[in-house]
Amino acid sequence: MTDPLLAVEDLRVRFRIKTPLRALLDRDPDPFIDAVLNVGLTLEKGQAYGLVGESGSGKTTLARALIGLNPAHSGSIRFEGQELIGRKDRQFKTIRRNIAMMFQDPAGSLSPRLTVRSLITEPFKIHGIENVDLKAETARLLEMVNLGPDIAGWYPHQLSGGQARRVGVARALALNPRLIIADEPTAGLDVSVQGEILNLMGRLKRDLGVSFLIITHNLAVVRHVSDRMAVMYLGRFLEQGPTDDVFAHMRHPYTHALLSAHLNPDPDAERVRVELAGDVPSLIRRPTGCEFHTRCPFARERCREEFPEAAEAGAEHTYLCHFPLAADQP
Amino acid sequence: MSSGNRQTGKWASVVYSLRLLVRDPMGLAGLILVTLMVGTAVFAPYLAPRDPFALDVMNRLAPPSQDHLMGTDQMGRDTFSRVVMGARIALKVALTAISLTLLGGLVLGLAAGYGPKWLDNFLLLVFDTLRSFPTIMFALAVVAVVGPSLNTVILVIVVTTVPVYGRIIRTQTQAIRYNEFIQAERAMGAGIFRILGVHIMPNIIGPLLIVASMDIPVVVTIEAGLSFLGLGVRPPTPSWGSILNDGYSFIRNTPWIVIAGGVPLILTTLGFTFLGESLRDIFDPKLRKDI
Amino acid sequence: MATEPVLRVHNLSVNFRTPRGPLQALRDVDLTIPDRRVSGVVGESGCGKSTLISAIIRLMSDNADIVGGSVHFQGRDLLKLTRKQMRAILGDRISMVFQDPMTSLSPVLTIGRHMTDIQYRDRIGVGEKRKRAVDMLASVGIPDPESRLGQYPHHFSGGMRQRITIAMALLASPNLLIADEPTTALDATLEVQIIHLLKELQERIGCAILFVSHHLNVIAELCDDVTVMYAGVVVEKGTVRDIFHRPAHPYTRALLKCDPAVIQEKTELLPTIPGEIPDLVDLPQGCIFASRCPEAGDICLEGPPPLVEIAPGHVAACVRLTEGGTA
Repeated sequence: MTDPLLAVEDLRVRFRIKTPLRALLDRDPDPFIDAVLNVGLTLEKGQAYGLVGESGSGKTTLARALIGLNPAHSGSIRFEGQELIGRKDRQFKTIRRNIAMMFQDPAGSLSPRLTVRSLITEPFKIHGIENVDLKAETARLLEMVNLGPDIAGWYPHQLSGGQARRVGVARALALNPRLIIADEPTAGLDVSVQGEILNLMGRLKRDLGVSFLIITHNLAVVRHVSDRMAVMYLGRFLEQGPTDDVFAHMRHPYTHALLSAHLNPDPDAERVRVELAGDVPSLIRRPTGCEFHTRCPFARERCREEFPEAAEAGAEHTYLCHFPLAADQP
Repeated sequence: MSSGNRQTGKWASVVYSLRLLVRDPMGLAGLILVTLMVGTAVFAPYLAPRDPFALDVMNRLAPPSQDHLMGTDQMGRDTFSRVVMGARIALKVALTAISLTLLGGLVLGLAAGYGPKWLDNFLLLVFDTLRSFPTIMFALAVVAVVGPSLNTVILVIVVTTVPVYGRIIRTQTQAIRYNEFIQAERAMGAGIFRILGVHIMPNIIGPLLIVASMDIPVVVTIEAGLSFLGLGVRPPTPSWGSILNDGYSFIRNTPWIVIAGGVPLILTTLGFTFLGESLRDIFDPKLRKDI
Repeated sequence: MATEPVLRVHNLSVNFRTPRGPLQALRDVDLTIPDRRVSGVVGESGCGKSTLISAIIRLMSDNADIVGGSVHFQGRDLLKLTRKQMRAILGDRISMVFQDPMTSLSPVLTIGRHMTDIQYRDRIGVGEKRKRAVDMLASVGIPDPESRLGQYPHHFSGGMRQRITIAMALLASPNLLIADEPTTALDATLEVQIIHLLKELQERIGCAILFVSHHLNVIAELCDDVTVMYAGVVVEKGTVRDIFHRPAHPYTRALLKCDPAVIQEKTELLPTIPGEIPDLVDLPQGCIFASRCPEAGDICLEGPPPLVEIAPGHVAACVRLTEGGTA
């Protein structure tokens, strides 16, 4: 069997929250927070992996660690068989050719003084690829994302949200990457355009065999485009598995809460909703036991004391919960 | 409104900005004065009716006449010609000093703003140390070591103003470096020089050039001041400051020398300040009235 | 209807001056908010919903001109008031909740300061003001409000801050609360909490709410009446059930259909509304939605369609409706 495109094992990303001197003065032996903890995932070529979580869940930190923008502390990240952990920033340059990243803000992630043409040919210049016809490449990439060629002379502030997002996709595609990490690909877009971007990603996956890692707080996005998914909370995967299976038999109360938080556009709909109390707890003081117990409507004594073991719910479908939902729930 | 200025390209917006500048009375006045000043400096040898160095001892301290539009000084040199040539010196000092300051400020400011924390702390310390010397004391010290000259003036100005520019650039760089488009460039593998040169600098240079244009008159005044004190350009060279100095001793009986040296100084200061302020209003979208 | 509506916007038109000529951001917008009702305005970016709010509260950018229409609040035309009269109404009888809870509170003032300062009109002692602040914070669900008065905005999470801004807006017991996308910056689980809080408080205080959002689902959950806007005009108006069960305008129908969250079955091809919003400097001749409308025909290009009444209180601007066609 060949290596998967991306294999992450037991990944941990930590951030220092006190300077060494401060930590010494406070007698704090562990002046760090774990933004990502015990995370493992496998992504095959031509597949899409969905990462769902609220803000502060660590999903963006995880993505940034994959391309070395945040240093990983321990664990393993293997991309096409090569280990990425322990590389220096400079050694990530070739990796960043093969893994492209799209950032959240459609227009804000485009350098404001460059034209669309300069923006989408930027990757060629960065990697010193000179034997290409930049004009032809621009036309090819714009066509790939369904934008007209006359847009090449425009500046980011002249683009609508949907157009800016498509320019972002075109730029990501420039060097034929194996993997595209899309951070909130539909954030800041009108609903009428969200579908367009998701359809575009689906088409690229099918036609070009590009893999996607999609980061979002919107379960609906994951449902339509991803093959596998994970639900993240305080840096851990609470539930993960094949997307269809997770939606059909979700076991973790948090997954259910996220899904039911999507407001129904029917004013007369009967609302069965798991409502969560309060906010996401601080990473500085992780709750004891099951870390979700502070907001879980079903929390019991055991949840406060004992960390749940990973449990199997089906083929490659796992969750962390003492009292999971019944298997045939929604 | 997103659907606003769709097809306006780079040139259209330059033309539009120029129209706004001319429509603003302050901007127009500034533009005229600055053009006058720069024109005088460039064409000084053709404009000066006489040799500014030629002595005419018979005609010392002569009042304005047809021969000598602004009279003559204590050595009989034609004041008008000296003022015209003085524009050259003023502009030369101002442009050289400001360009060097900008360059130094950019290098140090970008390094402090984008570099590691320790470098930032170190450079801030350097900036603060340099800033804490009073300009005149510093000038006296430098002159004592290397002697008075045009280059000394430029050196003093650059060293004392680089910290100001460095700080502005550092702050701007820090404000931009965590923007998503910089993160996106890093994620594509862009190196530090490409990020600084192609993505950060173009976004901070605009407001900086306006600050620089408003600093030109300051530099002209410093040069005049230092020359007035004898710390600047060497005597025969016609700087506005040395003209003032020459006229100062005879101000009771022959005030035209001081007036001749002072008025262009005032007009230049006003011109660059007006132009700078008007440009700032046009390019600062928050102050811009009609786009 | 027995009582006078709280707010009646009539034929409001707003232009922005641009280098290319006037950009017609709002064109003949009508909006009526009855007392004690929650009215939603929904539309995508560029539809003019933010311009509408800034015109109502008269906080428009320098390059905007109101070129026609009126905004009557409790019988007075707000557009004819002096700045001083306007200030007396804002924050007292009309309150606002903004989109971004991270920037709508001053970072250097404590929550207690925010909450007492906003009561500057009331001639009561500081102790009394603090007590009212504590009561209001408790009613928006801030736990242990007394001890939190001394804390600064950065001590609170986004959801908590939005609760605080709502508490501030409601302290004056306004007749009208204007909420500008108050949940857009929040996570979905918090969005639900805030929507329910608004609904509960509205019933208790008895104010009317103008709720602006680009998100149909939020509108469906909270509002009694809905106005759908597109590119500066009202395209459809009705009760929440009219809009969601019997949408008459093709734009409303398309909008309802294409939210990825609504589609329960996994699909490879999600519905969209192709195209871009038309240029509002150079308006198209006919129906403003014609260029993107799946049902458009030649008749749509002849002139802008008027709003026609389909059922009592339910209007839409589409020529097909008068033709006796698809509706």
